[in-house]
Amino acid sequence: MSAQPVLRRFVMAHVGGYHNAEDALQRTGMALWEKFAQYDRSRPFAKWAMGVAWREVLMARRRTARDRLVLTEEVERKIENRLIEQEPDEDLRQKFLVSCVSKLQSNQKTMFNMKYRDNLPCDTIAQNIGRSPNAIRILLFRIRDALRECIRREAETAEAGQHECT
Amino acid sequence: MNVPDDIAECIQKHLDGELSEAEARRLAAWLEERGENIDTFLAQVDVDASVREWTAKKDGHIAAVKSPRPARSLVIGDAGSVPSRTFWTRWMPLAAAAVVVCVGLGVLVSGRATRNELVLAIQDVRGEVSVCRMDAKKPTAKGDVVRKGDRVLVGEGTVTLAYRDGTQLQLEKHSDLVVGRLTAYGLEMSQGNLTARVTPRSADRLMRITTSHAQVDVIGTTLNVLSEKTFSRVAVQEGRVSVCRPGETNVIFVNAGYKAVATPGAELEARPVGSPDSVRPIRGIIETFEGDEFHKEVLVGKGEKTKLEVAPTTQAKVGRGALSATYDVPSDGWAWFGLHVWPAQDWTGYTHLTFWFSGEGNGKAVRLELLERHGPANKGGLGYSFPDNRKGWRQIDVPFSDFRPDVGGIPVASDSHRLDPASIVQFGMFVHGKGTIRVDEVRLVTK
Repeated sequence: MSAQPVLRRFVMAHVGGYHNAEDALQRTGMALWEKFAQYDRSRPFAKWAMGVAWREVLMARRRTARDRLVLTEEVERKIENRLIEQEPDEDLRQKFLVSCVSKLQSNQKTMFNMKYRDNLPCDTIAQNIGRSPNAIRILLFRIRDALRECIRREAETAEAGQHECT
Repeated sequence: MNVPDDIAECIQKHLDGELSEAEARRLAAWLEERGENIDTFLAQVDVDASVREWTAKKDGHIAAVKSPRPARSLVIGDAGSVPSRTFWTRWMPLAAAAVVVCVGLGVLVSGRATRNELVLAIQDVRGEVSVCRMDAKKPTAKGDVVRKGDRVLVGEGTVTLAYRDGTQLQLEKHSDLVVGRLTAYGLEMSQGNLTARVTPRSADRLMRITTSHAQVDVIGTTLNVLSEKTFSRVAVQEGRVSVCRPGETNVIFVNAGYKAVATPGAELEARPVGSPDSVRPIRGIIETFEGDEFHKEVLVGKGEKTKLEVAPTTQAKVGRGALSATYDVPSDGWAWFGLHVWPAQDWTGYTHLTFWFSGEGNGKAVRLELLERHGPANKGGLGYSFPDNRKGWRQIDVPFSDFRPDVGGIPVASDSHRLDPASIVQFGMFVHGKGTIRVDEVRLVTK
């Protein structure tokens, strides 16, 4: 299983802004390369990689004047453990995602496209459709929530189908 | 679960990089309240990441180009306390390659090229050069454009192409190159000789050159890639590239002044450019003859009245495959068959050649022959004779020191040359008389 999705989510949970997170993720790649000789193969790779990514998260926070989501050690540990437990199968998830996006209501789909296809900031989307930026943020939250639930259902259905075959 | 609206806003702002300090404190406090909140937060991050990965793939990475990148992310490196952006963008793709390349972690870089950037201009054409687009092949000329998915075919000629960023590609004769089909900045060269002067590029514009035997990741360097049927060679003039065999995890870095030769069954390693192109066989295996086809090219030579047929057989000593040679050689005829080992193999570090042999037991001599790539020009190879005096399988084990110069299978006693194992290109046998012999599991060992 690839550790990339886990690392991406770890960095995105700690570094605000997709592009800032991508930068930190790229630096993590560099750091992993430099430190790879230190990796103890008896330990899970994802956990070790997250340790390396943590330093890049701290560096990203130093560089960024805002977005300082500083969490307690306990929350940090829980985030790390949850991500390792989940280890998403990204290929499968994206297959479900395609299906779930097609099931969004038309107004949700419009907003989804503005945000993720056209990469518009929430303020611009708000202007385009005559809502407040905060309302847009809440709606985007709900859209992701709906997608998450849909992906979960699709995965369960697929798993049930697999059992039937075997 | 019900999430307060202000938290939903905060999570979106966090994902957008717009969280204020007060909002960050509010979000952090909410996360600390209960474990479920962490799950909700991570679920939002998870879907956001999946959607971004999906849209990047779906749109060929165009979406990210349109993104109004936050101003602060453009000044990374200005603080003086961190390495410059140029440094990171220059080396990050190789880092990604080192950790994940070829298989595994996937792509750490999310390409952000527009389709226009994928266009190459033909800068210079000499001789016979064509471009295939949508199955139509047309001769090309200076000033023409090569687009994503186009195939450049060089006959008796050369061509120079350039990307908009100044990256220049020079293809030599008999080259076959497909542009941008596998990845945005990917080049697939099934055969030929490519010299690329790659302008230092950002992480999202990593150039990947793929041949039958090698995958090369480049972020700004000058290199030469030679793609032959049996091997690929990557030589670096400036900078550094990462090289692996397609689909394999073993990645090596090749620095300026070094090269790597990739071929099945051989170690992938960087060596000085001036050294021979020879490769070290993995675990000393020359050929096991497993599978339906020979892994190495089998060469056959014979006189006019000679019959000789060489084929794979399932009557093996080890595993399920061996080589079988059936021959009928008149007294004034000759017959030889052998394995073509190309690129040359470096057998230094080993002392003996060993293989299983099943003969006719007719007492005729079988002469084993090795050919050095850089052996004396007027000489044949180096041989070792053994009698076919027993039916059934037996192991033949020959020290390198027992090989003696021969020409056409006939020893040349006056020649004092001894085997140089650094660059071996052929392993073969001269047979005499009539019969069928089988050979299996040709290996190198150290004693």
